[in-house]
Amino acid sequence: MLYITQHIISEERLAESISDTDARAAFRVCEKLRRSLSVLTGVVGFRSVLSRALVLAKTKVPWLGELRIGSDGSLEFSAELEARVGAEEAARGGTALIESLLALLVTFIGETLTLRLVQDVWPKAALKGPEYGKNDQL
Amino acid sequence: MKKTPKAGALKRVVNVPARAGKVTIRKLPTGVRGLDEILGGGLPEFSFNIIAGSPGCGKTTLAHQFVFTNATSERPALYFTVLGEPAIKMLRYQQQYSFFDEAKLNDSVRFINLSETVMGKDLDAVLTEIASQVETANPGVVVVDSFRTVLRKMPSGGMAEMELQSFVQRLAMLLTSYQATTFLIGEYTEGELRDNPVFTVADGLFWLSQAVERNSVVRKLQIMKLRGQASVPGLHTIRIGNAGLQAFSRTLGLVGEVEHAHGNRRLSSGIPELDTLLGGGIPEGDSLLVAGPSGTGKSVLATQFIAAGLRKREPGIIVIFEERPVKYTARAASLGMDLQKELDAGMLELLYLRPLDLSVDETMQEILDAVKRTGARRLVIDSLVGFEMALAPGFRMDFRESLYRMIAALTGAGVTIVSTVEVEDTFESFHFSRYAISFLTDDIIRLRYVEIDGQLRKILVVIKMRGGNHSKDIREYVITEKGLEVISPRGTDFTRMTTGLPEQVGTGKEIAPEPKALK
Repeated sequence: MLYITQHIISEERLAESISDTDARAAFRVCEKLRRSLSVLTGVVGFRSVLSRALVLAKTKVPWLGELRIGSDGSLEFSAELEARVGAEEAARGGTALIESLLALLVTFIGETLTLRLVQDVWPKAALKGPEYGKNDQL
Repeated sequence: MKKTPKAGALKRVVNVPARAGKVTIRKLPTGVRGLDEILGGGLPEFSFNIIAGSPGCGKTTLAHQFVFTNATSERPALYFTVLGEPAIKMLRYQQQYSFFDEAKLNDSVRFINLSETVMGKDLDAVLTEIASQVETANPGVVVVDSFRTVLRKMPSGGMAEMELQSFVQRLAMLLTSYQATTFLIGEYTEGELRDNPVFTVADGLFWLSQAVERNSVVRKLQIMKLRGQASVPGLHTIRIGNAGLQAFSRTLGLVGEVEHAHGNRRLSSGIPELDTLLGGGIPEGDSLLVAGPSGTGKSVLATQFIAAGLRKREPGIIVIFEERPVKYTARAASLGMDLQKELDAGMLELLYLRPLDLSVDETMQEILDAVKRTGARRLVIDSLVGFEMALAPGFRMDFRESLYRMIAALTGAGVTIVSTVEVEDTFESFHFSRYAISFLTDDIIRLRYVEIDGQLRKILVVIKMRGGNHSKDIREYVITEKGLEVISPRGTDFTRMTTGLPEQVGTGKEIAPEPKALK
């Protein structure tokens, strides 16, 4: 899932201004997934999956433990936090979180449906079918 | 068991134009094999339906099959989920079925979670949310799963029923006006049927149930209500397999089948002397029962009947329940009948139906499918006892009724059936079988052992021929490497042959048909 995660973060970053960072793009990815997936799973459903993803990502990037999930499933990621942990570390955290979230979806509903849901949000992203990026570590 | 055809292989639903001036109600395919026939051709378009029943009956799966069969990009399906099975889990499990098409997700099939609206707001807000989604998406199909959960928002008290009826009616009006065919899914008990406004408003009511009978589970479907067209009444067996739900109509899909006019053709049994005893062979389209104890050659006779047809290039089917196909074909080969060659050529199908939890209707459906597939003119059921034993205990009480329906339908279509049945021989009486024979069979051949001259020999007699006269002779036969052979009439006269312990009344001497051991 790492390849796809990086792909959609990059896609999201390209859509914004040149001053955008990978971290901010990653958290926008998370927000867009929230809006899309909440239709399918409900807010409670999305919040549950995101909470689990955060726990898993935290083991790789400890500062993610500072994030709190709102009642609507949104995450607060501020410029101050980014400045404090550093741009590179912030980007690593954002990527780890999205990667965990997508990996969880793959675990539950399979790669085909997960890619389909992602493609709905980024229709122009050149995502392929099953086994795309299969050498990634989930 | 052969795999059931996929949804794509469903019979096309035929929409017959109404008479001039009358509205034509289009019938939509349900995607559930066998269900369209039960519904009288499919589900009426724009109808407002309830799928009700206890948990685990297949309500959600049925709705999914309908959704995936009918949803298109232009007229998608909106599937509202409400506090029931979480959508992620629903997708996780439903994608295991062959009808689930991943490519349709979020395009022609869209899942929308209504939980927050239902939990946080009132019924008006739920209706507003559904209306908003429907106006935006222009769906052809709408499902609310579970509708029961939506109604739990209802306050209790005198006004509750009016409010419920009003809500259901407004929902029905909205969805029908937007030209959507709707399913509301709910867990209900039969006690809730009476005076429930939800059921009053509904055009169709699909009732799913499951009953445990000893070690097996029997799932049933009943169309309790369907406005606008005649459905097949009664309880129909359903099974959930890889392809989703499959329904087995009580009429076995034979409603409207054309009855073939029977000619006077006689079919050879494959045993010339027996044909003579039968008055020239088995009348085409008859059901013949071969009854006898174990080892008397019932299966041999039945195989010879099939082989005789194959020699005339008449396709055949043998349905077996006890002996495995490999052993069956090997035994036939040892009697000079090469069934394997015919199996390979597609002239013969050998259906081996052994599982112990089969429903009678799905077993019948397997046989009917094979008959249609091969165009078989000859069918052997070997044996009725094995057939009954292969069924789940809960289905055995339906066995005779279903068997009767199937035999009547197949013989009506001109298929000639030879069934075998094992009967226990006693030396006091002469049973045919414990089945209601007169309903099942036109003709009966009885095989039995008799003790003659220190040997246990075999005799046969034609008991009954509905279509004409037949020989009343009791004839001795042997089973050789060529199969069952009726031997020449006896040189010695006996009486009380049918008891198994005959008494010699003549004086003639004869040589035993099969050599006796030397003293």
